[in-house]
Amino acid sequence: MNWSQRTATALLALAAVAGALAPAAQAEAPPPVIRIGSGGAGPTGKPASLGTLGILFAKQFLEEDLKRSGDPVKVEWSFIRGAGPGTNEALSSGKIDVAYYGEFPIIAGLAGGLKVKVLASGDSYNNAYLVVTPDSTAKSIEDLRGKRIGLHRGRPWEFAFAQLLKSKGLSYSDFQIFNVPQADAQTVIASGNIDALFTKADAYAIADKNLGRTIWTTREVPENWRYAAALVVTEQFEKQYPTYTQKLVNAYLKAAAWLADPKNSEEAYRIWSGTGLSIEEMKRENADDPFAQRYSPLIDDFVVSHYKDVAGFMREQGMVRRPVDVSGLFEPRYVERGIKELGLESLWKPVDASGKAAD
Amino acid sequence: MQAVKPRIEAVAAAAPHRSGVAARPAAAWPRVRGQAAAVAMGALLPLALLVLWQLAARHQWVGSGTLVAPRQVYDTLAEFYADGTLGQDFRASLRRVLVGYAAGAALGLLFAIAAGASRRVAAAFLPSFHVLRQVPVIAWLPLAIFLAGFGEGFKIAMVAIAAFFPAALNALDGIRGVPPALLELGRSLCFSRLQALRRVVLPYALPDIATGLRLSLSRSWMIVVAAEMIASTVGVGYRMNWARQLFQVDIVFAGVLITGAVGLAIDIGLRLAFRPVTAWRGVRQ
Amino acid sequence: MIAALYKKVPAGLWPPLLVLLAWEIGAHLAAGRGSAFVVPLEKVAAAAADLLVQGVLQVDLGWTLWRVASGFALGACAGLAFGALTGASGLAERLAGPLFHALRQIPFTGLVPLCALFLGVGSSAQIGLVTIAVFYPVALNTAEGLRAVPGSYRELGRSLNFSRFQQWRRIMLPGALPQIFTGLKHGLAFAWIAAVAAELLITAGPGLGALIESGTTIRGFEVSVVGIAVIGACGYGMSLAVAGLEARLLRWRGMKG
Repeated sequence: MNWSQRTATALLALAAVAGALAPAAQAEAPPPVIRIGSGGAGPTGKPASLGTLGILFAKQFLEEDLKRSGDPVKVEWSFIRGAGPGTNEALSSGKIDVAYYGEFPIIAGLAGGLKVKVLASGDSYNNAYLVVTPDSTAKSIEDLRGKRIGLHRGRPWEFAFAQLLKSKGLSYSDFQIFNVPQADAQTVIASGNIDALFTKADAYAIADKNLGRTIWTTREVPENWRYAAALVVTEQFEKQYPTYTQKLVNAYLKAAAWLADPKNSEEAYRIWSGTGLSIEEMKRENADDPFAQRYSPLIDDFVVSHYKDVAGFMREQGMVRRPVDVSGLFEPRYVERGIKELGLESLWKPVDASGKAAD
Repeated sequence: MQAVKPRIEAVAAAAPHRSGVAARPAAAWPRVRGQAAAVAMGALLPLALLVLWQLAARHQWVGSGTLVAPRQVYDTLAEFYADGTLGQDFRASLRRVLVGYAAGAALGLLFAIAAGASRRVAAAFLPSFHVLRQVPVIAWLPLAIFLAGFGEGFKIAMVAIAAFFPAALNALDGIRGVPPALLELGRSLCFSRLQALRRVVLPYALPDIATGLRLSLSRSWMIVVAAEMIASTVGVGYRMNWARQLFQVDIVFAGVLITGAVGLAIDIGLRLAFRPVTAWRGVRQ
Repeated sequence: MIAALYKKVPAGLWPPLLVLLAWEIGAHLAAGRGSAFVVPLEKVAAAAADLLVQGVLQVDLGWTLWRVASGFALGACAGLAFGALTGASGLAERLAGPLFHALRQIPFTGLVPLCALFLGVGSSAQIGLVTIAVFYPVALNTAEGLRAVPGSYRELGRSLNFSRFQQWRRIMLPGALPQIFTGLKHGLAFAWIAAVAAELLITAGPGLGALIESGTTIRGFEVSVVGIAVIGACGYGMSLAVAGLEARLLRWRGMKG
């Protein structure tokens, strides 16, 4: 062979050797720390969280897994007081890699340029409640026209609120909407500064304390108005550390599987009550749906179509200022692989777009 | 003040050039060219930053994709201007500032006059004044919201409080700084209390009062934005906070630009209005 | 006897005493009507004691002071550097001045959403806000102070053949010092305001602002009052300390600065 052919052969040989060595080199360097963020610290100041992530945090499945596999990776938990909106800020400023929050702020973040992927579904079918002051004569949202309504803007249940208005032919400008942080909700309605409040399950506590009366809930309407949370990772982290993303998802699946076991529900309530919600409230909120369905981590058609609906609605209402394509948002292969690895196929059934579970 | 004016001009004309170098003879054409050059130089840095901003947004150097380009901010502003939201928010915020500022600054002046005129008033109220002054007005916001409600009254009251302290403090400094010799002069001319106030004290204290009024206005603006973020349904601060919740960075930037522009306009306006007063300050020293 | 008591109490104490009395009466009158927003003073005192015992108050105070200190240090350094540059160099002033004055107009509360979006939700965003708030008064006063050094002083330095360094050290800096100090004073006041504002508007972590807010959400308004009182006391203490420092440092000028 002439020298060019020899060079080509040498290069090919080199490439072959490199290719053989590549799998060994592919084992990525572990991240020094996995930073997870979610909303809510409890009133006592001790960190606690709701949903599947709350269980993951309390039971420390991820930390245990990492210790067992000998990974020198630390796990850092942040509890962000601004919840959804605050989580977007934390993700965009690079303070956390993984988050767990509602689809509404996730889509808002996506529209704002945030680069994230949804790895798994979190607690779904969360209800929202319209609460009025005890002495109010209003029986429905129409009666509250022109009145002052407290709503924490950007939180997941705003979707239900906007849908409610739309279904009655109303718009935001028919009311005086005050941006009231959900943490302040009880004080604000007690102070008489607003006539009604649109909030989540703390409506039960408000009613119990005689500070307000619920006149409408998402229970009365099709499921898609109820909000859901999801496990989210930054694109950068997922690209850089796919192995550890898988480990994260596996630990998350363990938490979801733990929740699917009815034996654990009492302990689950106890863990979640660290966020300040009473166990009674949560039991009432969770009454309709079995845990297995509610905390299913599957990214099925129901989840995708729900996100599409929310995104379309937000665009239409001007809540997002750019069109958002949610089809690129989901990364279900980690969940699928994790379920196979852990043998959890029988636990969850995918739900189709209309809400019917497969069998 | 009439007698003072010619004096100001005479002194200003005789004032030495700042750097100690004798003033060069002014010729018309070089001066225009000099001013144009000054404007051009001043615009250089902002333009460079604008370009940098555009590049950073395009290539996402900052904020992992959330930095918006200047062009988009401009579009957003245009959009809000067109549909009237901008005007609505702006008018709401402006109204709160003006009413609160007028009330607070006026009260501050009255307080300073009272404390300056009467030693008993000063002894009784100044200690509390100095202690209360230390609490940033914004710290009162969470409590004030629940006590006073979400209405306009609350926001205007907070602005008034914010405007009160700088106005009172600076006016007090000015009033107390009147040289005793001038007061003596007034007494020997048999000025009544009111005349002394009008002809001696206030004119002398005017530069400090002016400073206080300017500071009050910037504080008022600061507080209005904060109050709107916490409890409002309309206004520039409200809009910015709403955009923050919904992660609409372009609106946040637009809001920042507006608050900056308004602040600048107000500052320039006040400077121009008080220019004869600041020249007077030079004479005074 | 009452007259004797009246004479003994310094006049400055009467207004606050009367206000506190009215507050106490009002609180007890309102308590019956279930509006718990004006809390009786004994509740406030009890809350203060509780917070001290639990160590919460110290932790919050520590965090706020830390943010004030860091923000002040960063902002003051930046402000001194920038002020020195624009004060000494006419070119720098012409280049950077207009932009500086334009950006100065943005009330820093308006920058809160931006800081939160780009610096995150932790202390860094809050410290960033404090830094910005401190930067402007320090830079402004430093520049003005340097520019106001009388030309005759500078001439003196030149005629004595001072090197650049000597010119700065012996003429420019001492000449500008009173004004620079005024700038630092204002900067400190702004640092305090900005720290509290940042804690209220970017809620993250412990701090006095967070304490005040926790009072309105869960802990009870008496806690908010305690927070406000502590802020006021701290601010007052700081201004006294600064006034004392100023008197010592600027003694040689023979004026109050």
